[in-house]
Amino acid sequence: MAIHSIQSNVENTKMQPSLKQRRDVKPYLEAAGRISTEQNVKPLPGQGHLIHDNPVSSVKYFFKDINYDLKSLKNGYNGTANDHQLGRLNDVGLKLGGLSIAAYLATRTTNPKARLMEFVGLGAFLASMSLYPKIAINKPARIIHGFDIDKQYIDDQGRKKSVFQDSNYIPFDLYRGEKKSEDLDVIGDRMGIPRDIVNRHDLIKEQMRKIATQNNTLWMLTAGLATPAMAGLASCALEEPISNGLAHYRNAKYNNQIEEVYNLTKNMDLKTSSLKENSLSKDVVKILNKYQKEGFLPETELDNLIDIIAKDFDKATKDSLESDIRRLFETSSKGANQTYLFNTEIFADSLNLSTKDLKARKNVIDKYIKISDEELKSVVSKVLPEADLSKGRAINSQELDNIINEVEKVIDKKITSLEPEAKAFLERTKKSYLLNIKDKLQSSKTLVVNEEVINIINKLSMILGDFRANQSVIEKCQSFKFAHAPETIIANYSGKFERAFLKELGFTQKELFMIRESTDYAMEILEKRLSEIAKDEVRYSKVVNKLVNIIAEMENALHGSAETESVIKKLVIAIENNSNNTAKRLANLGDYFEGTIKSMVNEDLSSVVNKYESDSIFKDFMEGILANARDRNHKLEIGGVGSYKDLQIANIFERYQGSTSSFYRILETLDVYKRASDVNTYAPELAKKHKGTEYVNNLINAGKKTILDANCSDHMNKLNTTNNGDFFKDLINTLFRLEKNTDSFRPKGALSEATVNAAGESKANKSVLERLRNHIGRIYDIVPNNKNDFVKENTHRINPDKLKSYDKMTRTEKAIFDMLGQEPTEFLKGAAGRKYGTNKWLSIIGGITASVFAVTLLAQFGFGKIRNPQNIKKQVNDDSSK
Amino acid sequence: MISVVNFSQENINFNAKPKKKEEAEKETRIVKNTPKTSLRRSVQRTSSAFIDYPVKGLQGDINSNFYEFLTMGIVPYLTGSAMFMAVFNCVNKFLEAKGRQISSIKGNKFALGVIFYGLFKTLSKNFVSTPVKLATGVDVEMPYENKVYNLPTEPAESAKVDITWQQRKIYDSKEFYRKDLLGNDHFDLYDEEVDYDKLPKNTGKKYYNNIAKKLGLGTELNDSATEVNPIIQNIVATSSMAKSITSYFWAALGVCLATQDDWIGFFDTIKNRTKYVPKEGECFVPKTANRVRNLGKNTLKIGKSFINSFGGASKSLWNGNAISKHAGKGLILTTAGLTAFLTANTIIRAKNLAKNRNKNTIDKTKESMVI
Repeated sequence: MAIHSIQSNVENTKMQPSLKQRRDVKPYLEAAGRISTEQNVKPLPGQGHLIHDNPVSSVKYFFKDINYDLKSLKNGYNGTANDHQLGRLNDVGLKLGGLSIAAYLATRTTNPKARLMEFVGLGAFLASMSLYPKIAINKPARIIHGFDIDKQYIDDQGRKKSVFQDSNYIPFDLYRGEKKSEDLDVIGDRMGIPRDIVNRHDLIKEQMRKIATQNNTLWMLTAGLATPAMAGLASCALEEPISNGLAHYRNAKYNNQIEEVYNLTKNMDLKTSSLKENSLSKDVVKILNKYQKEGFLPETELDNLIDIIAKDFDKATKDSLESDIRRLFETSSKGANQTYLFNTEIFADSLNLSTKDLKARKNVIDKYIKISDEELKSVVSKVLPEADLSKGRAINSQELDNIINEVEKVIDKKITSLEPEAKAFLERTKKSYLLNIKDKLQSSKTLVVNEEVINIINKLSMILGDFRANQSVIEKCQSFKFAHAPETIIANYSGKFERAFLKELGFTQKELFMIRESTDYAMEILEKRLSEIAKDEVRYSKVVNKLVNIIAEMENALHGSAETESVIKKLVIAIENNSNNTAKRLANLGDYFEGTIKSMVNEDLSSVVNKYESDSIFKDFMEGILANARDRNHKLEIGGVGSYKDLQIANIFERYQGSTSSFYRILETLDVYKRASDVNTYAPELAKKHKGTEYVNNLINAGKKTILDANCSDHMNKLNTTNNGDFFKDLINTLFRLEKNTDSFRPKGALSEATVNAAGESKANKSVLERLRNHIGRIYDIVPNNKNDFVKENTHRINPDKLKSYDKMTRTEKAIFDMLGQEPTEFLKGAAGRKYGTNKWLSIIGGITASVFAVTLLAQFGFGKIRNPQNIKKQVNDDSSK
Repeated sequence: MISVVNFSQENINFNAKPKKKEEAEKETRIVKNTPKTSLRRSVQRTSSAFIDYPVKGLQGDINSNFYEFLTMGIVPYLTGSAMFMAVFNCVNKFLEAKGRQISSIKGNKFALGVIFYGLFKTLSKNFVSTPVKLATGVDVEMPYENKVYNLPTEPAESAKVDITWQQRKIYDSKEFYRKDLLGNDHFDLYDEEVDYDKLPKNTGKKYYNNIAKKLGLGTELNDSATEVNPIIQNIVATSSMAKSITSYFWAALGVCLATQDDWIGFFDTIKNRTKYVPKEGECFVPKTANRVRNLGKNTLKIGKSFINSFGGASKSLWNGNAISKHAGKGLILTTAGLTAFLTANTIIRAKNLAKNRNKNTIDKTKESMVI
């Protein structure tokens, strides 16, 4: 007997409504009027239907699903949720749990990108979990087998479900053919099932079930491998766009903040009367008011107060503040107003003998004069009857004298009955003893809290509160632009620069590994690659253009658009104004805070940057190549060096110089290799002088090595490499070739025509080349002539007089370190190490992902196979005829 | 191909490949929830998920059902965990020394986080189910073994009906929980001859009586099964919701715990564990004994280090760091609070339902009309 799941009735077949009629049937509940059921008793029409595949329904059900999940939560809480709703709550829990992980991890870092990436990682994971079956299983299955194995339907209760989720219950009756993809006949055609066979629909359904079961199993087997790998890859791919977008947004934000703090510090009112209270001053006054009644401040509270006031300052400024504040408290009661700290312990301590003379008479004193504990208490209760001595009490000079008088009375009582001779001796001893007590009591000065002190400290807190508020904004902006940390402008562009450099030089993974492992190999391959590029005009132009563009972009990101005043200039001015105006305000309070002022500005209240009106000159100033930069340094030498203000500004300049010098050095290297690609034009005069190119070739080889390897050690550069003064001079003159006939005060490097052309015509790029020229000129003037740690003074120096036009500070080893930047071989090694790690990770995870996808795709071609497809018609017919 | 299924009673082979004779004679039954049975059930589920069900599923077997599909969810759960560990650790050994050190600490923390995620998620379900069981008598985790007679895959005379076992829970479904098994004490529930006190505690009328008593419905109920049924359904729904939500918060707590720096000591202990190197010419017995001793020492050392690191990490999570002092506290309190709140919701709601169950909802003081 054949399986007849549908009892077909030939007579009734004619009565079967057409598709259109079926669509027109009104559900029972909506039907109006009398319903005729004569000869037509049948179940109510089902409410369930398939969800058609279109973008509208996707969006619609996206929101419906959210609504359904919220309803599920509510019903779950009330206990009225059904099984379907309870099933969906698992996904809700997964998302909430994931969010809590991301939120917690985001709080553990201050880096906004890292924070954002925690959520991106979660999003990538959830998206991968949802996308993987769609991309790797459902879409291919649809293409191969002609139907959607992820087809969703709405059941009679309005719940959205997957058609093929439960292979024992597949609602095939919903395939009413309303769309082609929902028409079993069309699906059968796509499967290649002959049209004229008996029970064709049954066969199609069975095939659909089988294929869906196979694919669902495949999904379960592969999702675990694919989802984390996909999430990892997606996060990795999203990292750069997110970083760029975020950096752009943050840069605009911080530029605005710099503008605000610039205006704020420019307009700081110097009058102390116009100061306003702030959170710092409120906290400080609150503490001082507590002690105003007692009149003095305990030592521990002073420490606490200083910690609050000097928070976030560097050690030097903090120390100065501490000593200034202490002095203020200690000296605020002078002369007749002088008070002393008094309590039982201090009093008891004062009774101890301290002078040699008294100590010699200890036995006599102990026997006749010494005050007992009871006597001590009685003295105190007489002089200070109301005093609570547990915390101590400030006493004035009169009270001190009273105490001494009382002590004298007690002693007098003791010695009055003695023999006159002994009495006279003890009288003398008594006087010394009383003096001893008085001295000791006077030595414990109080930290006086009175209205005057409170007023000054209050004003100080207001001033420093203002300073700190400005400083907080300044430091955030400075950190975002220059800090040695991830996601700063400098760090981001360094990353871009090194990635572009590696890409253009084109290293294989094996080469990257070897570069990382060996400096010699790094140098060898870098030389080889640079020589290849120098010979290839197109490649050379591309790499130079790309690198110059990145430097120009960095300049733009740092300074803002060329049309407006440099943002960094404003930042530096804000630093100067904030410190200068704070110092002036402190000075207006009186001479209480001289130490603090010195630590903050070191007598230098001028604003150096203000003088450099043009942005271009300001940038020269930043790079340390300004002709009159020594003005600043000179000024600092007499005044501001080492001040809080100066350190902050120096930090900006050093970070900037260190980064740009490393970039410039790569460009210099490229330019040297370009020039060296033709030995005849590299140094024609020297070739002529030495009658041949051999000498020039030696210069080229030494020059290439020097530009790749030279560092801030004179010994290394001059002795270990070229221990020959004349050759050294030729080497430097050819390596750092200078422009002739320049009208500039400083020499400028002469770049090859290819480099100038490659850099492009834009103003920003030209400006980069101009700075590069200046940089080369500066190196030429300082490095070969310097003698910081060089012993052979007269052999390896080209023109020592040149140094005279540079300030001492530009010639220190640190300055030369910043000026030379990172050696290209070291730069390459670091970059290669990072790139190798990234590539390796990508190859492993990418390989796993690709393999999983490949296996998943290939496996699907084996699904849904019909045994003997050529014979299918015969088989089915045979089966049904049994 | 559709084959005719046509077999007679004589052809049914219920004993197809039984390991023991009793296997086929056993019926669907409730299983005691002990560590031993839990382990056996987990092993059976996991091995089937990795071996039996994929084979059937990939063949498109007619007997590959929804239960098997759901059980196969273990596969991506475990392989995904391993893969997550790989994503964060696979590149470590290829990095330079400094990078390797930083990366391996991060990777190890993440691997531990993956383990804690699974562990905390599984164990935390007891924080809901145990109080609910104690307060209401409904063990929402009660397991049973389900006997399935598979459809024959061969036609006609060769048709055999295989038996497979499924490891399920009585309350997997709120709407169709296995009342039949709970009532299956082999006696008529209303047979007065039966001494209910002697019946197994978790079956039959005694089971429902116990729930009714705990819920406060009293002990003298005519039909405790019917009385407690809607309340049990409510408990299943609310506790299921509580477990679904809170278990992921506990899992998150596990991950966050693993991110603390206190684990570096634990990783170092594992890395620096003593390795036993046998002496030259050492015989098998002392060599093995020394190896075992070394293993024991290492296990003890690693165990101690784990406890110390766990304690330290818990403190660090609570105390926070310089950047954020309260995030850890917030997470711990939210998780614990949510668990307590949702568990209390299950219990209180059930008790309230029981309280209102026998309330006379008709106000007898008011006039009413009998139709």
